[in-house]
Amino acid sequence: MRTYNKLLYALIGILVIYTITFVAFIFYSVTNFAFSDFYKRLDLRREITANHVLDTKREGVAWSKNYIEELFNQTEFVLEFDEKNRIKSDAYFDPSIWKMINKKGPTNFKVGNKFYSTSVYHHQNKQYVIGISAENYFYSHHLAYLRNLLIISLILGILFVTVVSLLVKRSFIKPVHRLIGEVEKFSTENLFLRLNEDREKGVLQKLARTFNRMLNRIETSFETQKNFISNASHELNTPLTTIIGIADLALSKDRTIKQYQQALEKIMVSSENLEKKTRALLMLAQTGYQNNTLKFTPVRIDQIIMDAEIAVKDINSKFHIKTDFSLLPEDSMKLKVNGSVALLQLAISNLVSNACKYSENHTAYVALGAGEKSVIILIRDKGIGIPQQELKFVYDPYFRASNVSSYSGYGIGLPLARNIIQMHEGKLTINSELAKGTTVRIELPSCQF
Amino acid sequence: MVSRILIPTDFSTASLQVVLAYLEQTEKKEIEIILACGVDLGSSITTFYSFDKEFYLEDIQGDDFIKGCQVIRAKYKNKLKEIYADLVISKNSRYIANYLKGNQIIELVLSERYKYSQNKRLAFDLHGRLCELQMKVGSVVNKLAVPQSENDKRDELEALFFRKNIKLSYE
Repeated sequence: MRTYNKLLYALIGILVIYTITFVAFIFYSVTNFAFSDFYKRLDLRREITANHVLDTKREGVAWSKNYIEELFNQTEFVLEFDEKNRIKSDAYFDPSIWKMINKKGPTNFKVGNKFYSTSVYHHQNKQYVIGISAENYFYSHHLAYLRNLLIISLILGILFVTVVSLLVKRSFIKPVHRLIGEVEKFSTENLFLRLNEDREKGVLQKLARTFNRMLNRIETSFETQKNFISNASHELNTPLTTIIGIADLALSKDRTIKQYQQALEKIMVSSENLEKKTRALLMLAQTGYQNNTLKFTPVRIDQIIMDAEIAVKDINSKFHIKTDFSLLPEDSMKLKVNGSVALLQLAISNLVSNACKYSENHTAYVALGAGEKSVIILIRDKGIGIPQQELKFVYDPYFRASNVSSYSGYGIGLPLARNIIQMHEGKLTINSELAKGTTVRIELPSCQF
Repeated sequence: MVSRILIPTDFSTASLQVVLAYLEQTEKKEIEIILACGVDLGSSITTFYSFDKEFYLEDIQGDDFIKGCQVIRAKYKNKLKEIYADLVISKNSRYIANYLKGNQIIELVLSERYKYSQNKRLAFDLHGRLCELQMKVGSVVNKLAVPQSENDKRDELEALFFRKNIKLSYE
């Protein structure tokens, strides 16, 4: 802020100096013009007076005397000198100006408000000093008015510049202060808060967006770390239950070797699934410490959806997925995103299994399309929906909507999926209508080749 | 040669169903689609000078509508050379005929079950006006029976996906 103030005061200073210089220049120019013009007019009148006194051009002088306007408080004086250079007569002469008169030629000077024009003349072997004095009405009245006007304009101008600059400074700094105020509210307890991007414009909007993106990453890492154990137990529980169930069933009575082989094969598949999930969860946990450790590679999203279909059917054979691939792009490269296969599979299979779980027909509808810069996945169900007032809490770990008490679950799948999508710089949004169903939209940035 | 087609729209994602239906049934190989909406500027000189087409188009097109257009563009990359929005700024029949002629539009695609749902100021139902003028405009009029999506959609893009006539897997 101090730099802002320094810059502002420097700018105000420059503007004030410029205005003062400008005003001074105007005043000097006008005054200079008023002086030189008035002296010219006095010189002219002095010459006419000299001609009149010395009687050199009688006709012209009479004409001039009649038609040339007399100046304000105009006075003429004539000093006549004798052969010894002594003053012979001094009509209307003010002795106090004697020192200022040039005794050899023409001179102009000013005493108080009076302007003088004098000159030395020789006529019939005699020497004369003829002068004329008058008040410069323009100087004494109009210029004084102009001076006052300029001083008032200068003061008002400086005042205006200062006030406007301070207001501009305030309007510049206000959004920054607002952003600072909003940022100060953030803590580990409310990492879900975001800066309002739409309210700001230009660079500040960019700053708010960048800050929000950073918050997304921090929140994801923080939540991932915080909920790792819950996520791990939630994700590992399903394959472990399958393994225990199969083993329990196989050991419940004596079976043929073939039946034991089949049971072991199923246990093997579930164990592999378990291993994949463990690896994915470990990766998820690692991202919390260092985002760089996660190596993203180009992944085809249609393949991820097809794999999720198999994974979901493994969890519950009653679950169905109906895929709408009618709007797949002609260029299959548009379906590629930079990401981790295991994590994306984890996120999508969680969302799809949720959609199946909360629908009466246990069916999830999955659609896929590609925009210019993103891949769009829609996962929809015709299930129980989420109450509108609870939609804002669905990303909170362990939160379960008020209408799902008859369904088993931990409230972890959706926050986990959202964290994974955010980790891929994507966006997950949920729209739901109670008793009609829920639609989850995932937008992931596609690879730019 | 590129065939320029005009499809009236209210800039709702559901209105893009007509575009999809047309692209699915047409045999033309190079198509340019103009999605046009009607805006009646009237005779006010103030409206005429203060109206900015680019700004109005930017304002009236939602994010989902633009994404929907992009999805269609990606789907029909080879066939669909260009798809963009435009405004028809008068209801006047001569203006509309000249607009179609000037833009060299060879085909008008209208939906038999069109539902206009635009409430923006100055906007009017271009589809309805084109239906009234179809004998006078001089372009080929192609009417498609496109089922309009239900109103209970939760996500606007759903209008493009999960359409009734599209077979899903496992069905």
